[in-house]
Amino acid sequence: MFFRTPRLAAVLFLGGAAIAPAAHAHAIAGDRIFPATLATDDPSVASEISLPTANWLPAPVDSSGNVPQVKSIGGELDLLLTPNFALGISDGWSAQTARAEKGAYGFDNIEVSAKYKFFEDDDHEILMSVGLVADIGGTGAVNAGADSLSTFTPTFYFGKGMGDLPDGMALLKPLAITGTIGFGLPQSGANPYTFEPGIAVEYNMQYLKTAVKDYDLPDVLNRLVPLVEVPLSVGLNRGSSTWGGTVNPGVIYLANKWQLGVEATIPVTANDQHGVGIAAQLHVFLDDWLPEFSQPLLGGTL
Amino acid sequence: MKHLVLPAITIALLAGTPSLALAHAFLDNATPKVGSTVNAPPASIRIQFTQKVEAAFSHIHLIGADGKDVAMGVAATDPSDQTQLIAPITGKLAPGRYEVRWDALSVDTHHTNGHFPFTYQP
Repeated sequence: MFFRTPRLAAVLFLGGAAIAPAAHAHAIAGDRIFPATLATDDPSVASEISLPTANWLPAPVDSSGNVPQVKSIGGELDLLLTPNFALGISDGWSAQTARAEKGAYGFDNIEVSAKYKFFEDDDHEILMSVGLVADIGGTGAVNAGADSLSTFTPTFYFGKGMGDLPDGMALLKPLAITGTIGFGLPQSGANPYTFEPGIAVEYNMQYLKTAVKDYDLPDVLNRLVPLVEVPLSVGLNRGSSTWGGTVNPGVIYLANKWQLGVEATIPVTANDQHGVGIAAQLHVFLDDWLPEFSQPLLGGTL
Repeated sequence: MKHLVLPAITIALLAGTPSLALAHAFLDNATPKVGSTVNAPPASIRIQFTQKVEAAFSHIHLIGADGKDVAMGVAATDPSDQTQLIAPITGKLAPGRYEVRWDALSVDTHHTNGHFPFTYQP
């Protein structure tokens, strides 16, 4: 397993290098800005910080008949090494508590990632990237649910804006779809391989104002991106074939140098959580705040 | 201790460097207004950006419904406001739909581009 995953990533990176595009720091293709989505990663690379990302959810009913409350807070840092390649690191802390029961507290496993943007089409507002996410086993608190063994997830990321629709469908042009397709490859023989698709459908009010029609709406409305995210997961072997995940309707406020997103998390099955949860995230575009990060760390020009 | 890596890097990044008002130059508003219909031919295209732009590396083009370029003068920033890029229209406009195509280099060297329509209908 250790050998297969890096080799797959290397093949994907080398294949993509042949058609490497011009680069932007944000996730931009032509007129389109793809905001950083909360549950499914966006299709580009950038120097950026997500801090904090906060979640609250009611867990499934436990053996005592209680509904534990899970609260977590975390962060992620991504840095551009070259115009199209970024490394990331993330971690979080969670607390699970239930009435008259001992709580479980602790850090999640540290997660590191590498991501390469290999395709950009400005005219058709398309971005595509490949990456490898590694959940480093044994770096988190086992009693808080962190696995003692690692999981590697090769992932394909895509984004498509609808700005090339005919003018007769102008009000649909602000729509965009982004998504991820990942395969979780656990180091542990006890855990199943997983298929992890995710999709986000978003309507960018800023795109409506700046590329379709300026309706003189208040600035706060022009900066909103209503969206629905659907992160899913299903086991592929070892007796696991149940789909899990959530449907997350929400909204992102997209400022020039930061964004704030809030979403409800609605479980697709009772196995995932007992009811509706909430997720929120503050995201900062580092390249716009700090001149040191306005260009990739190892060279190249955006 | 290992879980302090991410916060430590983040704090070092944010605390060790002064924050400057730099960012990408995105279109904020334009004249003629994005998607509007005007009843007189505009003498120029003015784009208000969200950040200051470098006029020498920023451009405005006007494309007619026939796909041909309309003659334009050289784009320049407003002397009193470097966030405004203005290009005079030197060609004659016939009634119809036009597309403005722009590209801009912000003063912190980020490149952006975009396009928007307007209609001239006397």
